[in-house]
Amino acid sequence: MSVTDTILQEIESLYSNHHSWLCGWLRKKLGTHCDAIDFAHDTFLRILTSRDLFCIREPRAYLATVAGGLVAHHYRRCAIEKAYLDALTSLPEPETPSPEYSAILLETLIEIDQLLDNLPLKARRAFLLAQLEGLTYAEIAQQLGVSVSMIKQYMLRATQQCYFSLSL
Amino acid sequence: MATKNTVGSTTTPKQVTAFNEVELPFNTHVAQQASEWLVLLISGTATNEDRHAWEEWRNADPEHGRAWCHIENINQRIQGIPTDIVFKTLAPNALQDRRRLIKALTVVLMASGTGLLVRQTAPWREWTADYRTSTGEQRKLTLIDGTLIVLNTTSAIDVDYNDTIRLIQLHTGEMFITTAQDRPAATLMRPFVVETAEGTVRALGTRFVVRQEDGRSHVAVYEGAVEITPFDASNQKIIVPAGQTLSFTRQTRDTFLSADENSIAWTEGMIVAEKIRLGEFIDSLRRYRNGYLICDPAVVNLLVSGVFPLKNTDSILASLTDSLPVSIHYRTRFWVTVVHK
Repeated sequence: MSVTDTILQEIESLYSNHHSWLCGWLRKKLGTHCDAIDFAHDTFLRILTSRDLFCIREPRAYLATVAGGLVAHHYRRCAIEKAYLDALTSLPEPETPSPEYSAILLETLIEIDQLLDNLPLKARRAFLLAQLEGLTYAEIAQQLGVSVSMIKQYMLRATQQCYFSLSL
Repeated sequence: MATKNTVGSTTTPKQVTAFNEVELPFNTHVAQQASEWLVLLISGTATNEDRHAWEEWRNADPEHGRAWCHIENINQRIQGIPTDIVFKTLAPNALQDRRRLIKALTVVLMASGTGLLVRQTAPWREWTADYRTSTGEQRKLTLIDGTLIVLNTTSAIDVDYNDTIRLIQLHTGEMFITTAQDRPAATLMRPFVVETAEGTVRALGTRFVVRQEDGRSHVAVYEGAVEITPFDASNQKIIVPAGQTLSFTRQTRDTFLSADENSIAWTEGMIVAEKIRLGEFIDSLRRYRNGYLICDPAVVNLLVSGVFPLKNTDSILASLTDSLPVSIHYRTRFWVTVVHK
């Protein structure tokens, strides 16, 4: 039997044994039926395109992890979109970006947010203040109320994660 | 700079690229070193020795250079978004803190949509400057008195307004200035002065360009006039009237030449060529892109005409092949040669 066949068989059994359980789990989490079905669909799609199938020991825990991640990502995306639209309305008229450019900005913001995912808030702020405002570490340290050596640690952690997906 | 001793063959897990290109993963050791350099260079306390050491590191191994390009690509994305929007959406609480800290002299960023996309790479020069642009970037600033400044590629200025003078220090690059009348209500007008490495340029109600070149300064006046005072010949004040350009050193000055409107097309993000030699054209283009751009001596005398948008120098190069018997040879993205077809 080929590798592809094995994967298809795995996915098939995962789907038939756990799809309705996943929908139920998502419905409890989300409160709506339609969204639950959409997220369940996305979850299986995500698993189908990843290559982790062979190592699934606890299928339901695994499904819940993937689905939970998707839901969290969705909420985070909505939150950014809302904050972004709020930020746009506070811009003076001539600086309002075109719809196309606005869409690009939003996607880029979401990308950056993912790059900085899981960083402590202070590390995230330190990184953005240094990169966007060009503040020195001494200035950032003063602003965040921590030591300069702490800022260096934040910066190293943020830099390694943001550019190279390295976690310390 | 401290570097980690973990020399290993492991690679970083997943590379997030700025352009969704497929990018080979980096060696963990290289990734850590590159991160440490970045953290040092943007700290605000990096010395010239640090920067030289960083350049040596970057040039020591193609992988170092590639890791650095990777950083710059992502920076380009991050820095391409209006700062206020980033803070409001991604780190909300930082905004008020940030406001408190910003210097009293506030500059309004004229954030025109496309202008932001013009940003190329992070600037690693003139770290302490108040305002700077990276290679290929143009940036418009409106100072507090209404004076409009356009910074050209790879430029850095400090702005120092006090009770007696409005002083701009040009550290590197080129700036276009349209001065505004100082505080209409004020009884005493403060002079507007640009300082370069060679001397001062005092505006006499005007629209003009100042460019810092190697060992000399260049001034072109389009409206009004300016008064130049070279540092080592301060008794010798030179008035440059509208329509004229002048280059000067600390001691000497060149002859006047006529100012060409085409040469300020960059303030609109364009470069204009009217039957100029390809070699010269490539020389000007080089200022707007990173890496090596070389013109084969066999084609330097071909003539170029046209109006080209500066935001994509690759497409300018590509368009040359339509009108001239040349082809563009990309050894890497950062190593480009213009050769005979």
